[in-house]
Amino acid sequence: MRLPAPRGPISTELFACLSGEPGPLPSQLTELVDALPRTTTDARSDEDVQISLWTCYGLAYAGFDGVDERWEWQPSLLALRGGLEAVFERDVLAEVRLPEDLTPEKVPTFLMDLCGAVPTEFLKFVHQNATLEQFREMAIHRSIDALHEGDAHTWAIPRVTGRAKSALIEIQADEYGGGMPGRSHAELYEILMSELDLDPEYGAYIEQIPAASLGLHNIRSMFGLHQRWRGRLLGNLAATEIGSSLINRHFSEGLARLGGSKRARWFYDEHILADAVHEQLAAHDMCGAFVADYPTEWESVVIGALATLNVRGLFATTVTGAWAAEVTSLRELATV
Amino acid sequence: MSDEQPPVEITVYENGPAVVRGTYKLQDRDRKEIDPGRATIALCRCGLSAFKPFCDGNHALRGGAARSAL
Repeated sequence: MRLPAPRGPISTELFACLSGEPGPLPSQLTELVDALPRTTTDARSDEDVQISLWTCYGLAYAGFDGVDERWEWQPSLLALRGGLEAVFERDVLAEVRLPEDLTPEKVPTFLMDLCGAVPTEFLKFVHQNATLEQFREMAIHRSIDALHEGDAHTWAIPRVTGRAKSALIEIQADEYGGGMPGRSHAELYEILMSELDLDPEYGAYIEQIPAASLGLHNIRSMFGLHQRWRGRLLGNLAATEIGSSLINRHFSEGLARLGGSKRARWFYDEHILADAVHEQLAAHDMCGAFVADYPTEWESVVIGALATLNVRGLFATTVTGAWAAEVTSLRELATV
Repeated sequence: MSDEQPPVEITVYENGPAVVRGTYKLQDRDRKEIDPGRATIALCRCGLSAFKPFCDGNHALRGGAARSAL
């Protein structure tokens, strides 16, 4: 994969550095990042922040053509990434409030009620009104996350123990198709994209994907790459699995309405049944057991779930806002 | 050591499905095998699933009525 195009001063400087030898970053770049708490009002929708963060995390997945792989663990790069994460975390948590009467024992039920709620306006629109072009747009947005489905949560495996670990493994095995070639959920998403006449290669549409969509993936990577946020990562996974059957059923039926084939809908249909299992495992066996084993970390699990819903909400309002204005929800490519 | 398979494990979730894991055979009334599609499955307990005998999470959508039956 090639490095994406920069979207502002930080990504411009950063991507130029990544093409060279790993080493210290120029002071003008670190000063830009140091100033972010003042210069960005909402890092969740800040294109420069999100594309820089996505690229920093990309070094921990498959890397980029022409970028020295040693950049991944280069201290200067990690320090810069930390600065980006700090403002992203600040703005994701700004609207997150822990319920006052919550206790560790109530966490599984709370998660089920929180995430298994009624369909959103976005979901209803995709189900009933979206055009095929809008459906393809949505598939492009979600590709930045779905083509890596499960991967960030795998980082939680060595960090949890006991019953929570068993439940996590059970979920993750399913995410990867039980080890059967071609059956991982990421590969089913490739099929979905191909059926929609889209390029299934990861990052093929990176230039068109806006900050609010990059955030869906960045939040998982952020929680996944820090051991101290293992509770948040489990909360992120729970918020992903709980209610997912309902969400994917809306998507599948929406695509069927538009003439989508059974093969195209395989990704969604697989999730309807798989996630009916996963949501129970995630809420009760994984998060419930985790907070029972590590009572000081229950708030972290809940914050992870609330933060995930916050980012997902921003994505949904960004897309529906564009569609309501009858414009594309993707970034328009500059005319070459 | 015994060659016996461990017993099938069925876990009933409050306000949710029955999750089945282990070595089992799923079949309809005519003993025709139903492909579970995955190792661990969730069976509908509320009757609201559109994919019976599997759970599709519909119990959450219908809220009170489905829950009171569970």
